[in-house]
Amino acid sequence: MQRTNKMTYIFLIPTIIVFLVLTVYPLLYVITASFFSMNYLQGTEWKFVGFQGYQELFQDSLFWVAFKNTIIFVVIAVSLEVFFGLMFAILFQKNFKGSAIIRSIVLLPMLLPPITVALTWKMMYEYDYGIINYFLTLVGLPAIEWLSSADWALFSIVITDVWQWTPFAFLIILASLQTIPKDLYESAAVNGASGFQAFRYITLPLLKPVILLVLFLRTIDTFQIFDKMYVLTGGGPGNATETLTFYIYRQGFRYFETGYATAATLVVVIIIVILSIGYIKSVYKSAYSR
Amino acid sequence: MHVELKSFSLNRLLRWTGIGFVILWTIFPIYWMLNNSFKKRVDIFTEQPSLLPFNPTLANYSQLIIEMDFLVTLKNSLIVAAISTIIVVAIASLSAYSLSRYNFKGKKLILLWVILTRIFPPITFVIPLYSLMGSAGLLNTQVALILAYVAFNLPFGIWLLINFFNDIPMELEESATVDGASPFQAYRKIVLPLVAPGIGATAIFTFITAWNEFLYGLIFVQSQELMTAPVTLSGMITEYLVLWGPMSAGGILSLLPMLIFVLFMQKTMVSGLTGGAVKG
Repeated sequence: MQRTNKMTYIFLIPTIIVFLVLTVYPLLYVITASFFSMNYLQGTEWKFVGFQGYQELFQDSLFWVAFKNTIIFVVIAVSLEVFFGLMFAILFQKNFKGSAIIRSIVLLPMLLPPITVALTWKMMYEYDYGIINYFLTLVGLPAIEWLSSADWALFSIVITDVWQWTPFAFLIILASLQTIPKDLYESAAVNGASGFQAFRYITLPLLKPVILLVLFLRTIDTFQIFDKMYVLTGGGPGNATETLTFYIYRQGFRYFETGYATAATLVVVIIIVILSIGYIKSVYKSAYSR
Repeated sequence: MHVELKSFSLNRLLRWTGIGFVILWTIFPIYWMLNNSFKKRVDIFTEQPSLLPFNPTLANYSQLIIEMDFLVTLKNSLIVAAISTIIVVAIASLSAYSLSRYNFKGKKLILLWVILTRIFPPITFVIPLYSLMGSAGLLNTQVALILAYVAFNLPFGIWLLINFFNDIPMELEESATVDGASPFQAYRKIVLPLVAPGIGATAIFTFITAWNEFLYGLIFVQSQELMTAPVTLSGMITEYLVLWGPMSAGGILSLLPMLIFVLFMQKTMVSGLTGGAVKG
């Protein structure tokens, strides 16, 4: 490691300015504002209220609905994404003619704007004219109110999210799968292991770190889901698809309750940081141990 | 022997059925949007949806482009995404180099902040940045969006590039500086060309994130003529009427740049998406 010189600092100045103005100051703003009551629209003055904002937040049943929906959504969507990602990776593990192109096609959904993805699913979910209900009725099943029934709406958005993000799990698991040496499987086969045993005792343990990584990355990303709800259901029917980000958006930019919305923001940030402690530690070490 | 052969072909059959299903599952929603983008409104709203546009029309595209000025929308998305990408790459490459190469006071703090801001959800900064942009008179301008996208893509860029810089042996620049090159010359002439793939990955990811971004676009920009593509598209759903045809056409146009990227970048994508945690 070379020692400091003037260039070090000069190279860092732009980053430090961006950080101070666009992330450090904003975080301090969020922390401070969360102890005040302030409505941006009415231009009211900042009034110190201490923990009152938090108290109101924890007493608001809608906040807990949003909280519950977010957790349910994250757990189901992320597990499905990782499960299918693993299945896809096993299917595509062996190279074949055209496999590179087909893999690229399979990766496409995760690059698309979430809004565009939500729009095409909205068309397909349409009750009267949508293609999904058309196929269902074609095989004699009843049509489903995908987006307008409180029982289905959240799950319908889960399906959309799984469609978009399974490729992410697939890509990363596949990359790791292809680094497993082939002779491990060969010697297992020589010793009479079945395909399933090889998967259970060789593949899975070796993939465990990367599966955990994907679980983590998808969890923090899914935790902030907003775009798909905005287009597909607007948080409804009722509050069936209200999520934390949607809740903050509504408080902050429909009712302009700045103080209250920042309290909710800080709660979300704290949850995410707690979920991430292990990850932060490990990447921090790997960056610094050079 | 006979048994083995049988199970082998059964495996093959299962595998190819699986692959076929995966392709169908992936393609169909995109195909459905493409299909609807060439249909007249009456053909979209029909009891028996057709898998092909039997009376293909370009009316949706012309309505979108001529009446709704969608090319301006695409141009807005392009400006915001391209400029924020250039800024992120320029700043991130310098800083990542410094962080990878030198030990100095405050380095730990900067690294920690980089990791933390990578984890904070974008909603964290939306309220304070809104108020900041408001007092700077930047609300409803593209500058506001560019600054926001720089703010949350910069940590990602730095993180990714540190990993790329770390892979380059330090002896290379050391010998250059011994030969009398300044640190900046060593950086520009020797190191930068070697991290070109990392720079490319950072640029592509920043661009995609900015191009796809919705929340900030929705909140920071109100005038129709400045809106980015996702915001304009979401606006085609109103309480009374959804403009399915033009919306499908717009959806297709909004994903074209991504088609180009996906063909080039399978390799860089792995290290990019995991922030260098897994090498492609």
